[in-house]
Amino acid sequence: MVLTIKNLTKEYMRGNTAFYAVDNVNLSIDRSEFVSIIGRSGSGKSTLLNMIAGLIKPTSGSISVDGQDILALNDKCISLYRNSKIGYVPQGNTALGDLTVLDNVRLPFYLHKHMGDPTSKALSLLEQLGISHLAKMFPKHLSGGELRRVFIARALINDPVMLIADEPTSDLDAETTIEIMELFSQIAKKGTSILLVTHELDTIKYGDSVYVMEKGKLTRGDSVLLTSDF
Amino acid sequence: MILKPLTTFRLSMNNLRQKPFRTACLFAVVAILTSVFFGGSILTASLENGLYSLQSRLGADIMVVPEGNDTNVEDILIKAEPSNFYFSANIADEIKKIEGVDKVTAQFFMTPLSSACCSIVIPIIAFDPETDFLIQPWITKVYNDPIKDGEMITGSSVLPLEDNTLMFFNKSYPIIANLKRTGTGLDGSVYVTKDTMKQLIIDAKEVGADISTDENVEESVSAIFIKIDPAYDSRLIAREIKQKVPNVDTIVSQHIVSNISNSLKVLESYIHLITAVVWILGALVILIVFSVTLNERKKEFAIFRILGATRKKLVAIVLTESFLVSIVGEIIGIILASLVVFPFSDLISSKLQLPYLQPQNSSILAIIALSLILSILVGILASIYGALKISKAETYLTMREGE
Amino acid sequence: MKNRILTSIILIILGSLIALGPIVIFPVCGIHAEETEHEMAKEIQEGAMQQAKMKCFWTARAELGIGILIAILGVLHFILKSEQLRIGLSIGAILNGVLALLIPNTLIGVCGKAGMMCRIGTLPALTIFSSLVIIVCTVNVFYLYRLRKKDLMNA
Repeated sequence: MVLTIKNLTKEYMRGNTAFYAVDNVNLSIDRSEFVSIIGRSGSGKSTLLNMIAGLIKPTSGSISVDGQDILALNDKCISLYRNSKIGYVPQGNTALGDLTVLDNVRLPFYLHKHMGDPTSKALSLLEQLGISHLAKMFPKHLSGGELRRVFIARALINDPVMLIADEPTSDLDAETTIEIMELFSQIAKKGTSILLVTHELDTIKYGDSVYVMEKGKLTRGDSVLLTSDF
Repeated sequence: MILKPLTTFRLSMNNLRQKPFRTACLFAVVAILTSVFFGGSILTASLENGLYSLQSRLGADIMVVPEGNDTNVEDILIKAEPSNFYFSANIADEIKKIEGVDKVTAQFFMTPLSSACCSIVIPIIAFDPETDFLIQPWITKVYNDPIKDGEMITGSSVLPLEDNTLMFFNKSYPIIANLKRTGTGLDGSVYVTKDTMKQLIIDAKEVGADISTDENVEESVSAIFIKIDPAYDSRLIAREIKQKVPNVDTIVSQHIVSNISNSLKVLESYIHLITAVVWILGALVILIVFSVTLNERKKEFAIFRILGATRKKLVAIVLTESFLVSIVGEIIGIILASLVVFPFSDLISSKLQLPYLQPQNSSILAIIALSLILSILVGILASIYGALKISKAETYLTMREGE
Repeated sequence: MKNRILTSIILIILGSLIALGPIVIFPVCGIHAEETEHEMAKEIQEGAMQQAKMKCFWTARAELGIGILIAILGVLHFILKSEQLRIGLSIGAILNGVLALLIPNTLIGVCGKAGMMCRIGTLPALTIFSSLVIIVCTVNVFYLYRLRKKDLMNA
């Protein structure tokens, strides 16, 4: 198992009442498995992702990635985890505008000690994603779809075991959405697990399994899809 | 393709390069801080050095001059302003008799008086090479023979004609030695033997120059310089001289030094005050600029954190930026201050009317090092607060803010 | 665009300083006609003044001309758009700067007496201003040259 989540809960206080952003979630993801979590905004899916990424600490429960309990890690170790064990494709535009596309992709390599040649690796990733001709350009000149590919390349530069993506297609047109989802499928087939969070119904057919997140609770989702509308 | 690695240094450099106006402003502020500190320090050090030089150059413990002329001596020493006063040479013999007096030598001043702007006066001073202990010890360019009649010894700032002579009243006089620089009026004077002085007076009369001098060089002197036995108190001996010898004033050289020292302290306190005010304001500006811009860069830092940068790394990037700003601003500031303080050193000296002598190169280097350390410290202190705050912020919150 | 404005302003300022410095800021002897002929003759006799119009006077005159020239080159630099022309103007300014540097130092010189304004004020000021003209214009030439190469490559 690449990812094992047990009884994960995140509780916030709204005034005097307790509110569960994530409520007793259990989830397991295998190698090469492509998992989609579908849910409305406010359902807690982003909070779940941020906990898996180690950016928020849960109120209770456990998260284990590649056999490692990430809740016990200090800042240095969890930064390393975020840098190399997983690749995070956040929502929106998270490019560093002052760096070229190539430097954006190479950046995670330099944040911790790694072996290898990041430049050739970055170029190879850009080529696989079909955007190697944009290597020397600056992010402001790229379209939404091109940027998304840059972020995916960036997330893959350190060979993570799992890629997590927060709404990767929400700001893209239908055609580009298809392209990006196909890319995720290919990445999963090559051995990297994928955990994708979205509210777009069309995208779930690309995954191996689908889950639904509603009001903090996670449920396996195949049957629900036919009836709900999002 | 081999590209340079994205080290902390390169990331900081890139950050600075991408915001040129902000970076230029920071450079300018640090440059101003540095130039004020550096300029002020060089000024202060030169003034103190000048005073020290005057002290060691005075040579005599007591000066005796005709009554009413004690203030004029300071003028000659510091500003090389014309003064011609005389009394009988016999007074020297009287003084030699007083107990505690070790060495006595006399000098005769002659300064051509002139009113127009461009003729800087050169005081001509006749001395007795046999009894002299003031001038000869300071000769730098050594000529082995003692001074002869018709020859001149010049202070360091008297510039000779091309053939190493000076022209006075249509006659040419060869220069046989130069004196060490003192930063006082002594640098602008010329020294001759008594016989040479006699000739100069005759020549002056012939060309009709206004020299207002006593013509009897054998029997008159302008000032008598006394070195006393270290066991005796110069003030007591000065008093004794005033009692025993009529119509004279005595000047204890320590008084001159302490007078100047007081003027110096006042000037220095102004310099220190201005420097302190500028530094406080400058540090505040740097602090504000860094805080404001770090705030703008919250999203950028959040991205770094998401990509796995440790808090330490973020702080390192910010501190490196601040360090680079300090170094570059420092260099600019020192160059600017140096363009004023060093080439115009003589101009500053003549405007301040205080002894002024540039310090040694080692002192100058020490001042540069000190100002570098200070500007780095200020830069770090100004940025560290913002840096630590940024690194502690919950990254996902800041990311959400951006949405 | 920025380069044009920046360099022109610098040249105009430096040119004005070179022209007016020896007259207004660090006035040299004889440049203000205060002395009467009689006084001047007397001083020559005394040997206190070496000649009627001293070197610094002529230096100031020369620098007036050169300074105005440099300022005019600055104005032209602003007006003309072509990079090649601006490189030419900068080279011209460099040569003028060299002349402005050599005149008070070697070619004509300033008065010999230490403590006079021409030596302690005007000379260092002219040296600094003319050196700055040379440095700024040399940098400008290299900058424009590289810019032109880039433009030619992209065209």
